[in-house]
Amino acid sequence: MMPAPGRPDPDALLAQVQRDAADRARGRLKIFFGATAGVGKTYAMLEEAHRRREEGIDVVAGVVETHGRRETEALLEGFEVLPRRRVEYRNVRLAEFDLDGALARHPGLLLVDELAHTNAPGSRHAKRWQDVEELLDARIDVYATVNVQHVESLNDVVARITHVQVRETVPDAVLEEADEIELIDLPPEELLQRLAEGKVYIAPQARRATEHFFRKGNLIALRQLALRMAADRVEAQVRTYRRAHGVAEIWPVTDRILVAVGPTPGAASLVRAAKRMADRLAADWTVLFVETPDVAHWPAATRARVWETLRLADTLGASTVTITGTDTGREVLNYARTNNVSRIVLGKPHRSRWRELLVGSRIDRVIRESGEMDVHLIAGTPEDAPPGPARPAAPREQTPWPVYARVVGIMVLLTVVAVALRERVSPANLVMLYQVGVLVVAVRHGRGPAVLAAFLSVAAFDWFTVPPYNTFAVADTEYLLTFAVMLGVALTISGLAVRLREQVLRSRAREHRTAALYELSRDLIETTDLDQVLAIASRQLRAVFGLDPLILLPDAAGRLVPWQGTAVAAPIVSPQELRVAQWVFDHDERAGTGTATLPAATGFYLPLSAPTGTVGVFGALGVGPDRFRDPEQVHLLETFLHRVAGAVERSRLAAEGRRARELREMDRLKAEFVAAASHELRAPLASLERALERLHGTAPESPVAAATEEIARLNRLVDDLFDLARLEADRVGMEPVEIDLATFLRDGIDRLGSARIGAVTIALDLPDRLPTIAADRDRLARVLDTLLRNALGRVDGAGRVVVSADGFGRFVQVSVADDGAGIAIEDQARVFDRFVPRPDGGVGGGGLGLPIAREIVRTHGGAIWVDSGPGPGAVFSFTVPVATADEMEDGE
Amino acid sequence: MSEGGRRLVDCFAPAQIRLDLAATTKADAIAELLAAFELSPRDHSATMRAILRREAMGSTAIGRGIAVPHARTPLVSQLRVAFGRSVRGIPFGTNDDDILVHHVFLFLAPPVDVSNEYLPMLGQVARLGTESDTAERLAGVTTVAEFLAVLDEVR
Repeated sequence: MMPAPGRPDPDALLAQVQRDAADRARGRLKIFFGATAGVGKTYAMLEEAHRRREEGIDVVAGVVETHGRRETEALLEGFEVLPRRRVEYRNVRLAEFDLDGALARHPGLLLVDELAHTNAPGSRHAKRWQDVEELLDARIDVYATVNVQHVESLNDVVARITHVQVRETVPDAVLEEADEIELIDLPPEELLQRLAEGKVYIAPQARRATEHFFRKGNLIALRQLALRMAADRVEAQVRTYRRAHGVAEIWPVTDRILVAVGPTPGAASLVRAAKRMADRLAADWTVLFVETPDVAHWPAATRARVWETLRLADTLGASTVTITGTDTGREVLNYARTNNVSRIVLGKPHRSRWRELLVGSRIDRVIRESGEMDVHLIAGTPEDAPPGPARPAAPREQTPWPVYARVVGIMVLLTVVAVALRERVSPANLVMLYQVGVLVVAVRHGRGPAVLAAFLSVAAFDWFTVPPYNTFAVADTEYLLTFAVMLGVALTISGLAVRLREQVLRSRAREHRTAALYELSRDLIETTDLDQVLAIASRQLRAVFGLDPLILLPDAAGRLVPWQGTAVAAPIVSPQELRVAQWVFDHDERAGTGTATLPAATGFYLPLSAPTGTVGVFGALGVGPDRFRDPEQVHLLETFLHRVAGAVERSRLAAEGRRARELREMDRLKAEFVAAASHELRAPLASLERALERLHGTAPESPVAAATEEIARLNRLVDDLFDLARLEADRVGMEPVEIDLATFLRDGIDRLGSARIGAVTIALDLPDRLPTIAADRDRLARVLDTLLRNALGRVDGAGRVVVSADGFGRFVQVSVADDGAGIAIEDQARVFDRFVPRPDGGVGGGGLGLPIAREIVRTHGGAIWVDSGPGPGAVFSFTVPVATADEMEDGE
Repeated sequence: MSEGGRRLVDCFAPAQIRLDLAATTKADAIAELLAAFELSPRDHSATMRAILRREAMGSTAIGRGIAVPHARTPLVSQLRVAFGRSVRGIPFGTNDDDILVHHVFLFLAPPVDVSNEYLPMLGQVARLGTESDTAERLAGVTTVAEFLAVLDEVR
């Protein structure tokens, strides 16, 4: 499937990253690309090299063929030219590019003309482009020139155009990997002008061959090739960019593929091939089936194959379209033209030559009239079309006998009229009368009655209106011809009329289906409430398919439960049926009566498949095995359920979103309330404190001292409340910095102050090496302070506190141990909860120190816990992530 | 105590039961039991430090010759328990002198006890030291199966 729009394709991103990374490790290659020799590639290359040199880049000319052209030679002046390597080959002295010299010189930018050049035998590489690869690997930037006839994949094309086979080629990969390609374009007229002026260099030995080469027709063709090649490359770059950046809207899709499918066994492989093409071109694709009147006469298995093909296309991400028409070729072309299709994909025909001669090939016609569209013929291979349970042919429409009676009646009526008129009207007009009768019958009642009417009309005409009357004997033998023509015309008319009628019926049925689907979609789009979605779905399924749908949705554990509408009670579903439905849900495949899976069930079940997975199951109970034999019905039902599933999924997502918003809002309100309340409490506390201080001055030994202490405690509590609310509301406000842990812990102990420490021994137990941690310094200091003060509280004036730290790879564990009374086992689980009795068992609220500490440690991605009881002593520990995870590897 | 969840007896694998500890000191006994968990050398020594740090703050000997050395550490992801018995007795006081211990239950638990097993189990063992005669019966067992049978009766 195509990636969802707006989301970058991971593979494309990866390729881009790899290319970017490889680019940095390699030199950059820019190719000056032209249609033929003489367009000015070397000149353009030298011009740009000048600009780069002015930017301060170290430019060296590796190989530059000036061919004695004065303008080019003038441009080359001032460049350092790498000396050529002299090679002797069969007594010919050749001057070759000196690869080792270039590598040793290692310039910033090297100019290398004629990338396709073949090196003299005995050189390191056979081809010059291989030299360039080595230069790029050595991180030397290279400018090079290439002509279109040297591109390997175009070599044959060029040979066919020019009748000159070029032996020196450059692999396409070299061009594809080039960082930049600049097309040097010169109109053929100007090139011929330059040629005439002798400005294009032609080797003397090739003069005859090139005369043929430089014809205007050739030049135009080559220029087009070069332009297209350059354009393709740009297109590829845009596509990579678009796929990597997930841009869908800004660049219109250039390709739109239309796949025409029929009932052939190869249709499925045709669809798959088209999908591959669509993926490759990043194109939209549509699978089209033209429903002709013939379709009604196809065997059921053939029709089923078409619907299966369309279903496959659906799952592969195509949009599927079925249109009604009599001429497949014309409908395909019409659809293609009105929908901006750029490529039409058809299956190769398997018809006999005879048939083609007789009825003409639709494919020929599509190709002939396709204009600018590409037409791809793909040889579909018949796939493992599963035979499945033998489907009985759909019962043919039976015409009830009253219809035939009515036909006879019509004929009798006509005959009465004919007899009344036979003396006054010529027989030819009476024939017309009968023909009208046959036509009416054909249009209204179809084939069988029409045939009957045709024979009856001939018989009645003969018996009643052809002299001698009341006998089948005919006086004039000419009437025999009349009878024959009459019968022939009647049958033909009835045939045509029947076709017309069938087509009308089909398009009416389709219109009905489309209208129902539209209505369903329109209703579904208006609500995200699950119950409403399902109520709408039930109503429409009932209206269109005439059945009471059973809809089952999974509960939290993934077990299906029948949905209960607000108005209707949930139907009672037997455990066996539930198991069938569960199977459908788990496997995302249909099952039940009339299918190949679990056919003993009384219900027919289809999955509700949404883009993210199966959201539920549809069931039709007690429908009998034949109700959904017709693949077209199933296809329609599936289309319906697809929409329903999408709506169910949407309502789920909407509900989740609502819940999350509600929770967030509740959290926010709570935090706001706590912050406001603690703020309000501060002011009266402050004035109480001041008042008590004044009282304290007058009567130091009074209960005022105790009150002052309690006020201080209240003050701390209010501060903590405020902080906790702020921490919870503002988890993102952290500012992690690198902290040296040993210093941090020492500072923490120092902050306690000697007065508070008193007679307690505080020891620091640290390993030799500790990693740097990453944390918000102020917040983490608060955690440490809380743990230290709690420890001091538990040892109660005399005892030991040990602060220690251990590195464990990616995190550090800090522990504060004390030899106080310890914490009872049953209290340990709650020490970090709010407003629980103090861990030391003392009276008064435990405060919010530990809850705040836990909140802070959690925002750092760590854990905090206590190790105590049974028995005395407690160890509080927390973990924080290290800034760099490499230092403790050998620390043990 | 452990309603419906795991019981103490369920936490023991035979490999983590040593009916005849070789160690004669507290640290050696803990190290011997810890070895049953087959931690990496680094984790072993880190865990060892955590347990001894806790012991240094107060002995985990709880009476009737039972001790419960324990630590919570991020190095384990679920509760692990080992048992060791020493007929001779191991000095388990804070200063390695006063209290002789015969039955050592070693507990390792993760910091965040998702399944909420650790504290209830620790509580069960702690009660052995105060209210039942399990300690005496533990002294009499001769096989691992008998040991498990005794534990099976602990509620």
